[in-house]
Amino acid sequence: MIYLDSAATSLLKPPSVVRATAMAMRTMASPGRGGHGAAMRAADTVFACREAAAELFHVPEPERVVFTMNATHALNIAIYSLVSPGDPVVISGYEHNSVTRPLHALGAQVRVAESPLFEPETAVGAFRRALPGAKAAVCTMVSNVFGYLLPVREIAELCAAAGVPLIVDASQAAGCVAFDAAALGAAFVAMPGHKGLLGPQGTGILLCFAQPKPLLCGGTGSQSVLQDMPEELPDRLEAGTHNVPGIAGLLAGIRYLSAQGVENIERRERRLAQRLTAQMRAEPRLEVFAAPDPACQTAVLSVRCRDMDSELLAQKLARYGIAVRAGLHCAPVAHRSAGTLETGTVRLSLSPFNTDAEIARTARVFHEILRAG
Amino acid sequence: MMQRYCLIMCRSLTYAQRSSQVLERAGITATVLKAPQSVSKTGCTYCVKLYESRLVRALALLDRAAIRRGKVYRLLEDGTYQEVTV
Repeated sequence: MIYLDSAATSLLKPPSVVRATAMAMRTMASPGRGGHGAAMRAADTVFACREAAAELFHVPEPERVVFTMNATHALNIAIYSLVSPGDPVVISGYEHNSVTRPLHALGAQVRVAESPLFEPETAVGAFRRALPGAKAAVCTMVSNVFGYLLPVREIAELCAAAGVPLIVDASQAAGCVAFDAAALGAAFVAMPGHKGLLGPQGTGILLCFAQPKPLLCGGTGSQSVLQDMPEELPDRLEAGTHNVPGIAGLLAGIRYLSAQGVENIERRERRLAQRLTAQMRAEPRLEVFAAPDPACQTAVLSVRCRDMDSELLAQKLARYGIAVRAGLHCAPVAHRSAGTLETGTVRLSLSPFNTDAEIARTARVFHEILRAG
Repeated sequence: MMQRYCLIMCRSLTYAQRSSQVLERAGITATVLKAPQSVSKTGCTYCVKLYESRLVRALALLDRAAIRRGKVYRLLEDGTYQEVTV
């Protein structure tokens, strides 16, 4: 199989991630509960993962690294912390349902800072016009559909100047693009553990730079007599038993990334993506959504066939052993912005483990499918 | 003379771990433990255990690292705990 669906989840993991997860299942109990060896081993691993994440994202205090089930969970915590029912909230035109659905559930007045695909300056202008009077803003760092790198730093500056707290969705950026989370000045930065960070599914991280409201209330293994959730992070947001095997695997994934260097990974993925883009552009029946400036795009590429349904194309690719995702990618807002809402797209998303040979084979398969009609 | 132990109460397990890390890096042996129930005013507390002779320096290190801490208790010979006024 040639796996080109890393934007959904990283299927290929470093061996150390699998070993760490298995080891945790065999040797680690629940942290923050008992005081015995197995509990303390779990506690040490969870703490080590907080520290590793804090270092990777330049966060000064590891307690600001909160573990969640996934990025959706993290985003929900952030949104429910900042947004009350009916509040005006600004979002980019490229947000995922993990942002738009909680806002819808809250009855927020959503203002979409609309901008065309791959036009960062227009995006900044749109945010500037939309921000006055907003209670919060949400912006994805990278579109999960198009790999479009939004100008989050500039948008964060606008939000800070306007006094509007910003939530950053780093789901497609974490582990793929190097960034300093603390320097962004955002209130919250959310990410999954199982995509670019190469950890297991069932893990996510919320970096908290503002006081959050708990989404879940329950046992934290601390201050048990008190019936309010603790004020301190991370306990305030971590009710219930941790996914210790997941966090152990996530720690291994982060350590792998740190050893490789995220900048090196970014460079490699971009090189492969640019090769793939060139091959796709050579197919006359394909519309390829590639940034005029490659610096505006990560290793996520959407295409659509002018005369073949996206899902059908994806099914044909799957028969050749090429794993992609078709449809709306849980991001109708992004498709609306790009004009692909009616058709969806076929998304190819790379990982550090894809190879030049796989790119070449993918191109040949596309050619064969499209030639056959 | 037998060394006496102190417990520095921490706001959470994570704070206890950070405290231990700061102290260990400064050469002070500091073990993370679940605090005895008799001194866990809010129930289920983690603490850092260290020799009383290192306490003053330990507290200064924690203050410098801006790590919030709770009360400090001294372990007495009869096994009970006495709050240390810092």
